[in-house]
Amino acid sequence: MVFSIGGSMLAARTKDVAGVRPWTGAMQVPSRTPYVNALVRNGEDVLPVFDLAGMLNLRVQGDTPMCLIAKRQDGPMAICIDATIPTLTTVESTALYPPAQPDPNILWQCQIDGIAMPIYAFSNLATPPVTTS
Amino acid sequence: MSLRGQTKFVAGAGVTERMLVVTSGPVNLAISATAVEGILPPEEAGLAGTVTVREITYPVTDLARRLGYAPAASANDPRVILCGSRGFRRGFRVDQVLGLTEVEIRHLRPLPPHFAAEERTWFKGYFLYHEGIALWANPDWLVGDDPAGESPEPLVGATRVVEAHASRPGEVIELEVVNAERTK
Repeated sequence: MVFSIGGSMLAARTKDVAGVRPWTGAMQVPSRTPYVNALVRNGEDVLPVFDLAGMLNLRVQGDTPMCLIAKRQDGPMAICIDATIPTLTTVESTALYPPAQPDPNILWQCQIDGIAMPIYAFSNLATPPVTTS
Repeated sequence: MSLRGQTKFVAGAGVTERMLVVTSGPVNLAISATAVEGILPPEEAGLAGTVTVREITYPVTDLARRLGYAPAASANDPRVILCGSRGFRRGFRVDQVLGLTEVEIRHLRPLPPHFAAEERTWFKGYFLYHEGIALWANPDWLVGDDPAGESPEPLVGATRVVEAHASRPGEVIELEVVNAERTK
């Protein structure tokens, strides 16, 4: 699944995505867990919010952002993404290659329509990108 | 001196927790009624850093600051709530008191495991509140030491009031039941 945050194109395995729905707003939760700082409600359903945009130092674009429900190993969580509707794309396994810089949050990279795109590991998404000096 | 004097009782088929729900910045916070010792209009709390009610002095700070947010520049219906737990006491300026609520214990949910740091000790969980969510504060954390440095002002010049009012004259804080049957 290809989606965007702050205009940057990102990808995730479809098996790591539980769904996409309109973003209905979230209530902040005072928190010291990195990037987990809100709850979002949809009917009786409440999900923790993972601030992927904050982790990537990006700002979600569009007046009507979307809510991507990511399957993390400890349960589903909501990620606010750009208003652009995500798309499904098939990538051959031979087209996958390791990220240029080691990042525990990125499984592989690939080229889609000529754009290098990181494929995020939603199952254990938790830590900020590793920076190398 | 807590609101209605008790917190857990049977309403219909379920045990409920009685809570005061307030707003502070972006957060709806629910405080167990046993930990709420009074509610004052801000003018009675004065501008000093403390307020004394029935010989008890409460250091007063913004609840938003306690929660780690910047206090709102203005609030439509602010109050000062007086809280106490295990011998510690604090007063908090809040943006609004939303009401007194009874929630069935079975509808109180723990924070999702994704919240993995100190916040698990700050909040006992949350519940669905109207169209949104209310966080259930741990009163021991709420009134306990604040390492962020919200030290109480000296007691000199503390505002003294004779009695804590539940609201402004003529106002009533409605008691509602969330997901529970009303008691007879």
